[in-house]
Amino acid sequence: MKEELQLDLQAYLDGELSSKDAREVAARIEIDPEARALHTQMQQTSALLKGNEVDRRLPQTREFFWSQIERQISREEQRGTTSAPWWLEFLRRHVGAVSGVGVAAALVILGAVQLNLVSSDLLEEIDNPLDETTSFSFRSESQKMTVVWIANPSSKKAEDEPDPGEEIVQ
Amino acid sequence: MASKKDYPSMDDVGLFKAAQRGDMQAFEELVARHRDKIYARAFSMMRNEEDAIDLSQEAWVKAWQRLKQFQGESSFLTWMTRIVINLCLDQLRKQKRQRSESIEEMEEESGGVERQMPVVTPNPTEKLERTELRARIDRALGQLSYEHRTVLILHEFEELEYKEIAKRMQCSIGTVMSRLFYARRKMAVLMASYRKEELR
Repeated sequence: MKEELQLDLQAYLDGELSSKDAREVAARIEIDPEARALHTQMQQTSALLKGNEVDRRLPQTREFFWSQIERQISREEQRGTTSAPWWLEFLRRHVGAVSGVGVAAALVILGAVQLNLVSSDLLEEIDNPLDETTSFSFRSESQKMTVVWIANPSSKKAEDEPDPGEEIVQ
Repeated sequence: MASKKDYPSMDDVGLFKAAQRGDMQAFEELVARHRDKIYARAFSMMRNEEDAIDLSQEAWVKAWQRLKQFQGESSFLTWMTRIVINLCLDQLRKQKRQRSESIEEMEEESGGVERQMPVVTPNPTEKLERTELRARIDRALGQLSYEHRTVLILHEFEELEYKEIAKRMQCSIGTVMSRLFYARRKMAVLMASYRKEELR
């Protein structure tokens, strides 16, 4: 028997055919013993299954099962309330990506320095011009020396008369 | 003073509405009332106690989170059953992806052994104890591939139409029809073989 007819017989049994197609299949069942036998088999298998699903009981007590659910619900709710607001998530995602690029750039520069790809003239002096800066550094390639000047901006004295601070020589 | 509610005497609709307002005790009563059925559906699909417990538990958590989405188009149990079925289908799909190409798949594509099966009619006059019949059906279901078993469960037990099954199983209606056909034939053969085993 062709597969198409087999599936039509099944669709007829399941009430999934149009009335015209259903009439044609019904007529075929009348005259074709093979089609009739298959239809009967499917009908009886279907009838056997319906309403005869095995009963199963959850192998946990009511209290234990509920406690698991309750715990999971409160965990999910806590996760929901402690999650960051949308704008913080946005910053985290986008600024995070930018800072990633910054780290990558710093690594490239550091690598270039290590490989002497950057002129030593450019590294002669490193200082920080910001007002609130509390430390200044100086590097001399010719002397093979770095000087770091650490000041204490909170001290009144530091504003009027710079404290000699601490000199670190490498 | 707030009156104490008698949850066990309330119907599903009343409990459900109370749960929608955030009443967890009402929800707990719904869980207690239907937990066996939800677990049984998960077990019938997964054939594994551990997975069935985990997925039925997850279904209840999801139901709590989606209570407001339920508009009462069907019964609460039907709605819950749909949730657990979807979770089981997701899990089965994940498991299938993890497996290498199975023999079941190859059989399905070629029509498998069911194509050559003779027509076997389960004997309707055979008087089996209902418990025994159910046990046989369950054993036979356990021997089907998950695609065949799922399509049978959704059609015969959940009474879903081909279109709805196709949507849930993410396949075509033609595939549903083909799977259902071979699943039924295989079930008929398995049921008959159990009978022969017993007669020996």
